[in-house]
Amino acid sequence: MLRIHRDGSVEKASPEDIHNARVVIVGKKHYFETIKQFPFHKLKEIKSAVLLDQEAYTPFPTTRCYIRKLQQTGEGVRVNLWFISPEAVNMLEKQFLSLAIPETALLSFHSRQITQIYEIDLAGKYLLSWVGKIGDVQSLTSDNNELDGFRRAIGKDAMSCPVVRIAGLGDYAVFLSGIIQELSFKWVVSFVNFNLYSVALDPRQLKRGLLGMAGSFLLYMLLSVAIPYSVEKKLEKEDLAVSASSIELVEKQNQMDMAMKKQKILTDPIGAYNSKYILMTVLREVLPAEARVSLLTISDNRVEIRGTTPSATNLLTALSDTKGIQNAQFAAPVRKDNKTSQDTFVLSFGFTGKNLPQSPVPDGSQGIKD
Amino acid sequence: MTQLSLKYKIAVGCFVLLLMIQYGLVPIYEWKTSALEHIQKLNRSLSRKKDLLNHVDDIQDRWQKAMKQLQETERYYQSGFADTQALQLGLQKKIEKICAETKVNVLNMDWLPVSEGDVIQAPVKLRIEAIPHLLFKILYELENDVFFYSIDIMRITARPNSETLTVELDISAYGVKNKPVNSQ
Repeated sequence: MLRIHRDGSVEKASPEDIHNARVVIVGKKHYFETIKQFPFHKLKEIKSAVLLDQEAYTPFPTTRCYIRKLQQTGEGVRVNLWFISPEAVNMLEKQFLSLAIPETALLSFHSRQITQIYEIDLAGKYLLSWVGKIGDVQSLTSDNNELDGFRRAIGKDAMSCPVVRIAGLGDYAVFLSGIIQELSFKWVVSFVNFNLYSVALDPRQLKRGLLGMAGSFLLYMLLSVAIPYSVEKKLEKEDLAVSASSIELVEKQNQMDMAMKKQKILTDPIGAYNSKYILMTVLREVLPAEARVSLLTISDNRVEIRGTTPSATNLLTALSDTKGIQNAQFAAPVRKDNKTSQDTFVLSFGFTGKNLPQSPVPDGSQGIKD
Repeated sequence: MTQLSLKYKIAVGCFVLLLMIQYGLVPIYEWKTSALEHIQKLNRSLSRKKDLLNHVDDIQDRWQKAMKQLQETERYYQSGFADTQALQLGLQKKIEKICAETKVNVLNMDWLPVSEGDVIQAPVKLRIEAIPHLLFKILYELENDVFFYSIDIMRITARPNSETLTVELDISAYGVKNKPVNSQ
C-alpha cells in the first residue's frame, strides 16, 4: 500500500492511513475488469443482475462492483465493470467516505475520447491499458512487455493507436496525481465509497456527542422559554401603560360594537317586512270594477286570489306590469262561466312592499303618532 | 458499592427520560403554547388601543352617531314590559281600541306562541268582520303606529251578495328584553 502526496511524492503507507485517504487508487491486481452489453438501461438493474449472477462475470465472488456507462443504444447499454477483490473491499470498508477508483479507470479519464494505449513500466512489471474512444478500458499486467500481443488481443482499434509510456513509480505517481486533480464530480460519481457502519464507536466521543446534544437541547429549551416569557412581560407592561389612557375609548368602542350588533338585530325584521296596506291599495287599483274576489290569502310575501273577472288574462297582465309584483301566474285553470261570461280564476304572485307604488292615507286615519 | 449492570442503567435511563418528558417537557410546551396565545392576544389588544388613541375625536363622533341611530331604531320596539304576555296584552288592547274606534266587529282573538331571543315577537290571531274601507283603515293604523307591528298572515273571505268581509289576521307586536342604551 503506497501513499501518494499532492506533489506526486510516494511513500509507504501504514494501515491507519487508509482512514484519512480521500482518494484510493485500487491496483490492477485487486480487481477484475471487463466490458459487457446489457439489454436494460438503468445502472441499478445492471448492478442487481451482475451481483446476482457473479459467476458469469467475475472469477471471484465479491460484494463490490463499480459500473461505468459507456454507450447507450436502442438495444441496450455498454458498460465497463470492475469487480474489487474481497481483500481490497475489506480495506475500503474501513473508510467512511472516499473515492475508490481502479487505476485503469483513472487512465480513461486522461485519454479524453482519444484511443490510446498506456504502457506503465514499474520496475520490470508492466501494466498495459487500452482506452477506447468512448472511454472503454481493457488492460493486462505481465512481467514482460507484450505490447504487440496486447494490440492483437484488443483488435484492430488498438493496432495503430499511439502509446503513452510511463516508466518508474515516481513518474507514474505524478501522472496519476495530475489526473486526480483534474477529475470532475460527474466522472467519478460511480466510484464513491460510502460505508455507513465504518465509524468506530469510541465511548469517549459518544459521551461527548451525547453531552453536546443534551447541552444543545437544554439551550434550545431555555431559549424557547425565555424568549416568549420576556416578550409576554414586555407586552403586559406596555398594555398596562396604554390601557390607563385608553380605558374610556375602549369602553366607547365596545358600546359602539354592541350598538351596531343590536342595530342589525332590530332593523332586520323591520327591513324584511312588506306593508299589507300598500299591497291592498295596489290590488284595489289593479282589479277591475267588475271583478269579485271571494278569497284572498297573504302569507309573508306570497298572495293568492280566488274570484271572478271579465278577463282573467287581462288581470294577470295588469298584475305582471305592476311594479313590486313578481311571478304572477294562474294557480289553477281558468274557467269561463257561460251564464255570466266571467272568468273564474285562482292567481298567485309574490310582492316586495318597498317597490310597490306609495299609497294614500285612508280617510279618518291619524297616521304616524309621535 | 455494587456496580450497576448496563441493562439496569438503560432501564433507569429510560425511566428518568419518561419522567422528564412527563413532568418537564410536556408542561413546558403547554406553558409555551398558552404564552404564545397570550402574546397574540396582547398584540391585538395593544394595536387596537393604540389605534383608538390615534382617533379620539373620530371615536367620539362615531359613538354619538351609533347611539343616536340605535335609539331611533329602538323607538319602534316596546321595552320595559314585565313578561312576554304583557306584549300580547298590549297588542290586544291596541286592536280592541282601533276596532272600537272604527266600529269593527271582533269575532275572536287568540294568543299565539311567543318567540324567544333578543327580539321578542308576540303574535295574536284576530278574526273580524269589516267592510273593505274599514279593513284598510285598520291595516293603516297598525302599520303606522309608533311601535312596529307586523301583519304576518291575512285571509279575507267575501260572501256572495254581502258587503261585509270576514278577515283573519296574524298580527305581531315586537319588544326588546334588554334595557335600551342611553346616550351620554
